[in-house]
Amino acid sequence: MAAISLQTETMAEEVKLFGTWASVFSRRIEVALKLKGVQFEYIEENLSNKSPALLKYNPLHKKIPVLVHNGKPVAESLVILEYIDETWKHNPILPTDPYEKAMARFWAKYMDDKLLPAAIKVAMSKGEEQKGVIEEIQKQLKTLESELKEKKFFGGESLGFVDIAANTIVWLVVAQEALGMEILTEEKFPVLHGWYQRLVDDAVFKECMPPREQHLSFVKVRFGSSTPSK
Amino acid sequence: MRLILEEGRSTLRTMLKTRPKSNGFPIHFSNWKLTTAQAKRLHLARRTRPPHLELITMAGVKLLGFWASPFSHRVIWALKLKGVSYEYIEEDLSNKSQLLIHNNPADKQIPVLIHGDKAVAESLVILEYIDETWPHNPLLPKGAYERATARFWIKFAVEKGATFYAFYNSNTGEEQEKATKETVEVLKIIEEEALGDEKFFGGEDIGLLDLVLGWFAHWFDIIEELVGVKVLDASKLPRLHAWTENFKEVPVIKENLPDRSKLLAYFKHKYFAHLPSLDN
Repeated sequence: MAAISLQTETMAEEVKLFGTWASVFSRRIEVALKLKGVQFEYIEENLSNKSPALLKYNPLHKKIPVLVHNGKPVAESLVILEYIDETWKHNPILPTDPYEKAMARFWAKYMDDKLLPAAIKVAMSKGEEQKGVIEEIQKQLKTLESELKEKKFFGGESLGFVDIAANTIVWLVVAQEALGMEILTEEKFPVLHGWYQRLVDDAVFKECMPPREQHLSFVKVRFGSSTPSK
Repeated sequence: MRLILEEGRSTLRTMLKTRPKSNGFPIHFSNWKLTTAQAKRLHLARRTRPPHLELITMAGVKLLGFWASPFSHRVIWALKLKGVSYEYIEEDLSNKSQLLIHNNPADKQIPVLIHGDKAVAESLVILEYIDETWPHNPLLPKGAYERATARFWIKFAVEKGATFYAFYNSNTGEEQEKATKETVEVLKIIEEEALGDEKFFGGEDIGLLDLVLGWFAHWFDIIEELVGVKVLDASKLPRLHAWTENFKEVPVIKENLPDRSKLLAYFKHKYFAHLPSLDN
């Protein structure tokens, strides 16, 4: 397949990814690189003790993920995804048609601008406030369902840009289990739930998910003291 | 059916008015007397637009916008820079049209670009769509790394919207001091890291990042006036200040800015009603 022939190309290239194991953002980059069969060196960062390399490659934000390609750093996960797609053109993650591309960018932006802040808020809130945020998220999930419709993935037959950005939903599902909330259920969101199952069963995506037990404890520790709302 | 550019259209109107009278026989327009200026404008209008553009634009382009919105204006500037003919539809944000609601059900916000039967929302997404659909006069650089850099700064500029919002929104003296300090810091970073010694963020010519930051050249000083604090001045931020002047001189920008006094009145009203918003 494409991955085997790529080895000779990438041997001349140096690709590094600075990330953290539980970061929704750096896991996106892992998925994209693996989908393209790009060999890379992964560097796990300790965010309370950032490496000099990270500070050198992302001096402005000092955040992960940072992709370093032949010494040149690229930051911001969606920007990195587009860079990867433009640099390694096989197995495209974005459509070629400008309109389809615009739609993909719109929905990926929706994940980061709307869904992600709400997901963080829901984990940090309690009681009535949490109920309100849950309702907000469910409205957003309904919107996503109507965008997904009958498709296997947002990207069509295979994982695309939006599916990768939608890994936020996987984090949401972990949070709902860890913190005892009911947000995305098969009953309420049959279409989205179907997509979710296909996503986490995908060979490449599966490889790039944080180990479940560790992820659950991580969320419990970080957001843990909220009382569950049903 | 040929669609004609705005610039070309007014030239053509003049030509039609002054054309020689025939005795029932058609006279080809190439034989009509054009003034040198008219001929030059028509030629330039045609030259920057590739022949196949008519086919693409024939699908009809509409822009749903709001006169005071910088987000709306980014799209206007991009369309004008590409020489794309479009129909502008002004939205009443307190009474959104069915066209807007139908074409952007996700958040019902302007701007929305409708191209044929396709609708694109979110100004940044629209800008990249325009750049890819009409690839002449490109707004983004060619290389993947340079594009990633431009997109990185675009994201930065958008994220820092919260800082500028806080500046606009600051109530107490302490809040204002903090917001002012943070605003200056952000602007210094943009000046130093994103602009450097270039004339425009896009280099010699304006690019996507210039359009995204364009609101500084015309909207920001209104906010400074309302808040009562001057931040973007020639002594504190010389290069960025020079950029605002250069940006406003670009013909497409100069001819497509909302009236300043109208804009001031609009924001004054919103500011004192404690309902600041730039797009809704």
